Amino acid sequence: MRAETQAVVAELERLSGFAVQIVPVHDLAVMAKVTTSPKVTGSYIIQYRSGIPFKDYLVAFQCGHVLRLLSLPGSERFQFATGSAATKWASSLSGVPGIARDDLAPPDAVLATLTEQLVSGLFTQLRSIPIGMRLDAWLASDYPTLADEQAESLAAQQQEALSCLSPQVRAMVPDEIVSASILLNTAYALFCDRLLGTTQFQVPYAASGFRDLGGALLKIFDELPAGPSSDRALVDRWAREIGLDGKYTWVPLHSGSPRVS
Amino acid sequence: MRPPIRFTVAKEFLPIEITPSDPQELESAAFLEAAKRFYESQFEDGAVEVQSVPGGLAVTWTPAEASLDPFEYAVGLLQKRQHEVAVPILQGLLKSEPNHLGVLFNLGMAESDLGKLDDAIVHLKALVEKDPRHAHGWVALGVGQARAGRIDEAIATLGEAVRVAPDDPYARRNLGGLLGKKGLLADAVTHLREAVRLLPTDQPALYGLAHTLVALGGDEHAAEADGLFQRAIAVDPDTELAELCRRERSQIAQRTFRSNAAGQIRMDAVMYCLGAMQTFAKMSKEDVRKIAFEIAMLGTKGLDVNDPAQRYHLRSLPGQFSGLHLVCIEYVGFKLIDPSVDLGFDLSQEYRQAQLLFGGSPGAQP
Repeated sequence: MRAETQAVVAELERLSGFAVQIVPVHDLAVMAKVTTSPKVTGSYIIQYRSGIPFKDYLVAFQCGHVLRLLSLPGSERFQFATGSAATKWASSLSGVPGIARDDLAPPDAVLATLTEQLVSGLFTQLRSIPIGMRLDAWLASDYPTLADEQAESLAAQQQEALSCLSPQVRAMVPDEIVSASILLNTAYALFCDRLLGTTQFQVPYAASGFRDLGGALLKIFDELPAGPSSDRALVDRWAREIGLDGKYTWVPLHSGSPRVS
Repeated sequence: MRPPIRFTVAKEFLPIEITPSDPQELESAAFLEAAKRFYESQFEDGAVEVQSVPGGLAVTWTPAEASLDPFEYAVGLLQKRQHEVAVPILQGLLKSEPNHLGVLFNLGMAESDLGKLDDAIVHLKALVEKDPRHAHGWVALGVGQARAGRIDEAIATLGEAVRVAPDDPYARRNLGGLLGKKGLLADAVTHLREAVRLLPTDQPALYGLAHTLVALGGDEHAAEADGLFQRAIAVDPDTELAELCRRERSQIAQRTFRSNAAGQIRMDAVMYCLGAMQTFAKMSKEDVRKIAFEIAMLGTKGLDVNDPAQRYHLRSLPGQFSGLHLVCIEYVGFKLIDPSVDLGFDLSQEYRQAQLLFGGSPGAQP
């Protein structure tokens, strides 16, 4: 690992008192994640997709997530949680457009599970994109020597995110989820272009008419203070903007033992 | 260097400026031309290709810099592991320059990495036919053949690579690896030693040589392998290969541990297990978990169980410990908190004996 990445890891180990384990995982569904409470394993475990060419950036980013949480007083540490409200919303959605309601259709229970998974994915986006943007701004400002890997990673993420516009997603995902997901991705694309000094990432969304709605999310991001104590407000304001407010909760994390999901 | 962007837009999300009133027109030449022009104006530079696909429109944008030197651009993409977008560019270049050795090589390599092995083999064979001294071409062809399961062909190809370039470490490393898989261990070691000599910090070469030495058997080979595994781990401790090295080191340690006792129960380990049982009997499960996981973390860096020196200490338990002592504590700890965990180090005989001493029956729990 690069010296600057080692410094971020060391900072997390020093502040938390827990070791950091970095584990490559073949075919990990996401590029990287911090998955575990440090108390269970005596360490923070960062998993990343093996073979990925920008490991240092991913490790620094995941450490940043935990550092951001640790920088808050215990009483301000919350975990994003979906519960009955999200389940109720999932059951009210318009159904999966590409599946005909005929004798060959999957059972309702299967469709309900699928919709719940899609809703869960959307809420993961709602939580991770705006806070991830804060982390990206922090890395760009405090660790400019990771800029090359950051640019590669953001480009790869932008390419993956574009699947939300595709006919396949359109056919398999209820309208309400697709629309919200596109707006979140539009805001993220606008942010990435601004951070990297590029213009191309926003074009697919802007061409399809989503620039203003995504831009409204970016405006909220710019208006709120950048510190971690505003993270919940940021997610809440975005949720209100795209109609997801009231469908999730914030659960306090007790006893100074952060559990990051 | 900006990477290309490829996306597919569902017909419902098509830009309002180009959406045809009749869905039938989505495949028409006029629509595709209008869509191309529209996206070109949106991206402002570079080139846009559009294609009608079921349910929508596929769009590929390639930035302006790609047209300055398309070959260099494609190679840059490969270096960033963007094989999917580099391959179509290289295929296009091959049509206009079928004898371009660089295009053939990079296209074949990329196709091989993408699992398009038949295409890769065709392009790499064409390369070495045009330039029989292209050592990297022979190596890439051999790797492609091996990936396709054509092991004998691959060995012959890599043998040719070694003949053409005896100092090519990748030829040596790949040939050694395949010979090892075929059971030709002595020959494999010869080539892998060369690979390690030529590339002393290449993790796969170090691992390959160590693994093959272990397969050859014998204490001397095991000792040399252990050193090579350590060198491989030091190169990059966070890779899957490093994890494999750690596992193989653990197996070597276990064999040495058993051979030191001539296959009998190790009484030192029994006493360490007994001590752990007595200590844990006075602790909460949470404290036991903390100790066991701390040792597990230490273990990821390697615990030397065959060195009696007390050179380890824990934050969660006072004292100085030898490697074997810690592994015994960890073994007893995990028996308490999660007996299904396999630590990869079998102390079951010593553990049973300690249970007898601790509670009077093999079933007794600390």
